[in-house]
Amino acid sequence: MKLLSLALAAILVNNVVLTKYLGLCPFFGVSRNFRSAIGMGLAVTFVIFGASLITYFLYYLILLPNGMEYLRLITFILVIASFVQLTEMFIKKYSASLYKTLGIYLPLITTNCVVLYVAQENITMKYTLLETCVNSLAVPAGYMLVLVLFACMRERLEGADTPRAWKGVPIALITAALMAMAFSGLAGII
Amino acid sequence: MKAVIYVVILVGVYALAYILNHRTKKPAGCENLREECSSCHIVSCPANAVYEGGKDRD
Repeated sequence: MKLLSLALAAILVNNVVLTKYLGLCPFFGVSRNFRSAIGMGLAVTFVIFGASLITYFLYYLILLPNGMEYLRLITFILVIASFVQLTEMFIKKYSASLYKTLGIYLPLITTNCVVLYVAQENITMKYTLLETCVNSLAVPAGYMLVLVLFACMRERLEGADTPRAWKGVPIALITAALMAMAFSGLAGII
Repeated sequence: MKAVIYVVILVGVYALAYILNHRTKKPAGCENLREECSSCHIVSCPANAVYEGGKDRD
């Protein structure tokens, strides 16, 4: 039950994009169509899950026993950057079709602060390994949910009769604000 | 001293991953894949439509 609450909270109530305003750059950049949103969402999920597990083990097996907790931030940044590079390399080498789908989004993930946020949150909230796994899947699931919903809305907005000054990013920001208000209504469910 | 060695190892791992990734050839048909992000105007970002891959823009 606790794990279910954790997952629901991460996906809906504490959604990283709409309540913490993290990962907004790729959120606005790669939400112009449904296909891009799915690709970016899958790539983010894979990187967050992998990077969170690596950082979890590095923190509890190396940093904490050696009294080097102050190196947490630099460790996490370097691990995420390295993990993205290695992931891109393996996809390039072994799966051309997957590279076609996800390859262009992988470099964007390095600059996605959600990845660092999840790695940090797992440590600061003192999550167990199982809770870390659940949180590391639920947060990107929430990210992907909002990204896909937003992409569907933006596809419709492209054809809508919006004033010229509001076209593009301005109307996207207003739409995101309305979505954030709608999601804030879920605050009491957990 | 332990901390210095640890950071050097991490930086080394990143450098190695970066070099290996850049030496790996892209699959056929994927050479010019590009997602043009339009959320900001930072032209040094590879995702930006006007990015020229470090060429001089004088």
